[in-house]
Amino acid sequence: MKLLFVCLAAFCLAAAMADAGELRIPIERYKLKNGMRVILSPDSSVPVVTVYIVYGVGARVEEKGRTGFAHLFEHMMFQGSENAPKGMHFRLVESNGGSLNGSTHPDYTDYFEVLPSNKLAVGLWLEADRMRALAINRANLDNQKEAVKQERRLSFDNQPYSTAIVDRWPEISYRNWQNSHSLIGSFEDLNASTVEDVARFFHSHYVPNNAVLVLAGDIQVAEAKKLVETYFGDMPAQPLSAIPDMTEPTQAAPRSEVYKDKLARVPAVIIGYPGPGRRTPDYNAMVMLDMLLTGGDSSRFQQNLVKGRKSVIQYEANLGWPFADATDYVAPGQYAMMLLYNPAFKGEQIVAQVEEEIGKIARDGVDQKELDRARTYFRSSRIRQLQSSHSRARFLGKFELLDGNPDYINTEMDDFLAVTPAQIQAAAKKYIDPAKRTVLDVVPAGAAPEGGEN
Amino acid sequence: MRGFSMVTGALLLFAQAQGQTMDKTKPPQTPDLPVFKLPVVFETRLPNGLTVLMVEDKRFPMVTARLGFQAGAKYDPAELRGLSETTAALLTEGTARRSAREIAEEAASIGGALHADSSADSLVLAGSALSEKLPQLLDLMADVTLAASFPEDEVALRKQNRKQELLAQRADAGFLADEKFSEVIFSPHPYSRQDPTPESIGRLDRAALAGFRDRSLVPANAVLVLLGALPERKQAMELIQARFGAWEGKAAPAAPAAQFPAPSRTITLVDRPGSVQADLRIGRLAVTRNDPDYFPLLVANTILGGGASSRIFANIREKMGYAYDVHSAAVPLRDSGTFSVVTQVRNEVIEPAIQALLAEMREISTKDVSPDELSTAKNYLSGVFVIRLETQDGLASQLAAVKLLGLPLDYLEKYTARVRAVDAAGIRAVAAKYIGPETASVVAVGDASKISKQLETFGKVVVVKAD
Repeated sequence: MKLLFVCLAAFCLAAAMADAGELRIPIERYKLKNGMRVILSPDSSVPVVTVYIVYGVGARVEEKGRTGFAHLFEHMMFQGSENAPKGMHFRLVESNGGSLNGSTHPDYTDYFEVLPSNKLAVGLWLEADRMRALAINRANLDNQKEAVKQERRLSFDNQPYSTAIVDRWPEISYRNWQNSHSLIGSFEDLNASTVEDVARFFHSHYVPNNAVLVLAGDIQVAEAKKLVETYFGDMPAQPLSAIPDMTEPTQAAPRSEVYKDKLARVPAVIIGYPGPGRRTPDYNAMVMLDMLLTGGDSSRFQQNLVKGRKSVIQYEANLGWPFADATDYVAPGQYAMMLLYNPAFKGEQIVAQVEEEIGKIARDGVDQKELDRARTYFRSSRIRQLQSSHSRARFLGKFELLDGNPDYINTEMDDFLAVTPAQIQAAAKKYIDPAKRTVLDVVPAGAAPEGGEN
Repeated sequence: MRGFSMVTGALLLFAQAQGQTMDKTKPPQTPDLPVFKLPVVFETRLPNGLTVLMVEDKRFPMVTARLGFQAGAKYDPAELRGLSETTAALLTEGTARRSAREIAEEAASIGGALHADSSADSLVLAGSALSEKLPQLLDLMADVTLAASFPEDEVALRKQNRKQELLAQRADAGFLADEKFSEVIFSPHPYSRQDPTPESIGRLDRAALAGFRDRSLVPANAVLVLLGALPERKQAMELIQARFGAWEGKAAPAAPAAQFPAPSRTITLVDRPGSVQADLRIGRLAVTRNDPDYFPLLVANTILGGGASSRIFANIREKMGYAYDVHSAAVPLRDSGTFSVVTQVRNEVIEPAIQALLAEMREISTKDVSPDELSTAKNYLSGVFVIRLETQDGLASQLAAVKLLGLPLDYLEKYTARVRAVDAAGIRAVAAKYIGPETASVVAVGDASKISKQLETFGKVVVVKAD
């Protein structure tokens, strides 16, 4: 079930780190005169370098009538720039033995090239050229509107669970439009986007002082710095546009809805609870709570719901689900999960079972052995993730952008591992609050129960 | 990774010199791809026939392991489809000494994970752990391989959940397209039976699973790959010998005969009412990695549809805007392989999209590719090959695959040189054999009431239900 469970892997990203003595990711951090933040992380074990650039703009800043715009814009970034005509970006990276992509998230948009290390300049040139002078024109825009619509048909409209997750879940779990609108957007809004919209978005967000550049892998620091200065140093800083208010009103009552899914054949339930602020003690506790509930085969959901009750078939959960995980969770957000369940059960029973599992932790706490096991699992999962330069670059870029501190790649594990059983217990009590719960029961169309449920 | 050699010096001097007279209107000139050497792979064999590969990698305090068998789905009896994958799923769900929960808890507490998966040719148990826990990881791997007990309740739960998963998978148009394509290309060879059915799952029981374990999970058709911060060789071998040495060396079962139907043009439409678009596969039988045609086909595939600078990406997606995903794939199995073009297009443009794809397939099989395309494709393949070996998981999987597919151990070492040796004439020749549209089969999954007319312009259409 590839679609549904993409986020399970993402969750594992949410946590572990080696003891500082065992594994330390080197970081050289500085700023160009124009405000662009730069992180260098040399590791010469494999002749590969990742050029990763993340802009502090995501789908949550979109304006009414322009849903899906941040993602449409991300597509435009591959349509050519002043000196790299349409098609050259792909061709140049691939002809130099590299791979590339970009992705749009609620709070940021990122781009990368993974290249043989002596091709570093190619990646920098391409990124600088499009940051300086993207080719914004009608032909490119029309063409990419079609590609995005086709992406929507493929990845969402023709897939079970997807429209429930992408379109409906945000609408029922948030009240502030900035958070609740569809991030992939509507065809209507995509059609309405103009060349002027694209130009405005570009000039107010895709500027050096809103970007973090990370070079991870086989680089020599002094030389890499020279190249970065050469390609990015002469771009002027620009005034940034104001970020809209994203605060959510306090949720006063539980919300619940049934979603009839024409393509789904197996029922699923989505459950969410408003989460804590990023990097607060409660955030660390929620990350550990999630690890106990869903981290690996020995987790409580696997052992007690999939195995014990035989009610849940598969699940994924995250601080920030479905579009983020703990590594890029930004409040307001939810601790949310999706569980595919055995049709012999009802969605409300699954909700009750989930809350009972978490309730056991809230009531009885966690024993040391279980916590130790979760910590070890967490730490080694993180070590595995740090093996590729691309993955290291993503951690560093996100932590710089969202925390102003890339060294979390080396230190956040200490924060997670320092969480006490009492803190996990308190977080379970405080955050898994049925009064603030949102539920979306996704039932195969035709097999839907009458009316809603509460 | 120690053993990888690097040539970065050249770049640095170059970059420095360039800094002074930088013309930023042109892409920077860079040296050729760095020379790269694989880490040293140590190979040996236990007296019972178990092949062992070891690679030192001290970058991370982790070990990564694979225990692979030639025991994939092609060994399933026709009435017991899903036997290999269900055996794989249940290996880690209980042994004579450990319950499922104990296995899961032990794996987590050594900082690891332990999972078995089955594909068409092989069944692979994958594990990892913090490096000081290697003995415990090997204990677990040996225990689940030799003494999996297939507890009754775990078997029942797996069967129940697998039937639900099948339902969910069958809701996915891409899954249906892949399934039908394999059937069209390989039938009656077992490669044509990609997935189990609810009925075949229903027929599986403990006896069948234990029988498959005893017949197929034997040292003679197995390879153990260990990679990471390993103890010194002698000690590592003692650890392995102590756990796998007493394993009885039996003959491995023979694979089904590698006989496949001659390719011919067929058009199959899997009716999926309500589809807003059609999932397409166009292609035919191709070759294994051992075949001399494989490397030219690999490069041809890259030029036609292997990446974002490929022909069909540029034309079908970027120029015509018909598709978001449009690519081609040469998929080598142990006994055969396929070549296919894969895309999803909206109902209204199916006919022109197929026309355009067939035209591209014809073009590459009748005209030489340009020198520029050729060098782009070769560089791309050589570069991403190295990127895939960046992680322990990447290298361990590649090494296991080399053995399980019956390739020489120097396959990875020689990969880049063999890519480099491909020329335009060679590409045209293999493209004419495997890519030319005359014998390509078409599989479409979509709403028959909306798309069957358009498909009929390409020949007789057989419509089947998605069930």
